[in-house]
Amino acid sequence: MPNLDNLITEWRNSLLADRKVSPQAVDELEDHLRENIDRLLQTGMTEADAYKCAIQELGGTVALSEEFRKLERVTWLPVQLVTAIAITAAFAIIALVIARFSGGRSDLLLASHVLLVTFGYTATFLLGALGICFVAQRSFADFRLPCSLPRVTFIFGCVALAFTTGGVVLGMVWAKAEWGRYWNWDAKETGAFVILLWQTCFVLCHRFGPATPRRLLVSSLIGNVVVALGWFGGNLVGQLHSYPTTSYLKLLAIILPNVAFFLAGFAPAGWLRFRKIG
Amino acid sequence: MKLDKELVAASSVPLVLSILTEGDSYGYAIIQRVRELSAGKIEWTDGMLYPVLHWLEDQGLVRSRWTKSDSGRKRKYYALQPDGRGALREQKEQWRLVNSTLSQLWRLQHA
Repeated sequence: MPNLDNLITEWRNSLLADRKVSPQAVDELEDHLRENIDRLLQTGMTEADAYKCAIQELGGTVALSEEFRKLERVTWLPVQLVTAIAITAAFAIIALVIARFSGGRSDLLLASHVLLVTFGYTATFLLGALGICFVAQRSFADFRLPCSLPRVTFIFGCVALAFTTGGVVLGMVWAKAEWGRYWNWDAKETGAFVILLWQTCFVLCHRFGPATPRRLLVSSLIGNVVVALGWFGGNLVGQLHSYPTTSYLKLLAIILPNVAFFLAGFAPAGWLRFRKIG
Repeated sequence: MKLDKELVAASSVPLVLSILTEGDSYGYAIIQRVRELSAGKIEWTDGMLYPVLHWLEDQGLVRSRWTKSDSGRKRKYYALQPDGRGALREQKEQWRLVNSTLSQLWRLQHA
């Protein structure tokens, strides 16, 4: 007859084989199972009976896997939309850069710099778009965020940071070759530095800080403001990286709604919900 | 009398959050506390509590940490977070509203 440890190992393996329950969750469930078994053994049951009874109280492996699977089942439409936009944007940016490069209007280093930085900034904007959707939806009704959301925001944060860092480094190499220095603290470069700082803080807070999904999504709106100022604001100053595509009006049109959404993120859930009077 | 499955599921979040206001706790102890308070009438399949705890943690309402129990086994403790206290306040208001509405209705029907 198998001993208790063998039975528990077998039970662990069957739970892990389904891949719906994480090893850490299985450790937690095992602690619970063993507590139950200890209690039942004290009533005079045999190990085999106590094990059987404890498993019954805990729930079968199929039922447990199904319960854990429900955690991942909920999908939030904005996450799907933002992911689709990110993939489309990646292809569009690559196509644009290839067109510029093959048209002889840009060298490869500069084209890659533009590609990476643009995608890094866009990823931060998309994270901010999730924040806007969250605040808007929460203003009308409290709702349960899907459990996969922290993973999604972390991935977007890391992608934004990685691409921006790569882009900035390539830009520095290009600047050294073309302008004779790596870094000059002009408005656009300072903007890029602040954006990088923001992206790093976001990822670090996500990983190590007391950041809840709500705080992360609301703070992602600050990311929108930082990127708008760093990316488009630099154009207004008229230094080395100056492009006549931005106006103060356009910049304000991006910043003000984000500030408004950020402030609305602190209001109680459902504050805009329609209430009947009387 | 046993509670309906749906009602047990709906009450799981306020129950867990309320128990955690008493202090940090772990899965087995939370279930024992619910059994004790409900005189065994609220019956959870033990394993179903854990996805709820993990969901609460993902939402930032509780935070977990691993410690070693007296028996030397790894044990995961959960602690209520400020957002969890806020969520519990909202839950309390909702449950009180349901309670007072039903109480009024049933008082009227008895009169």
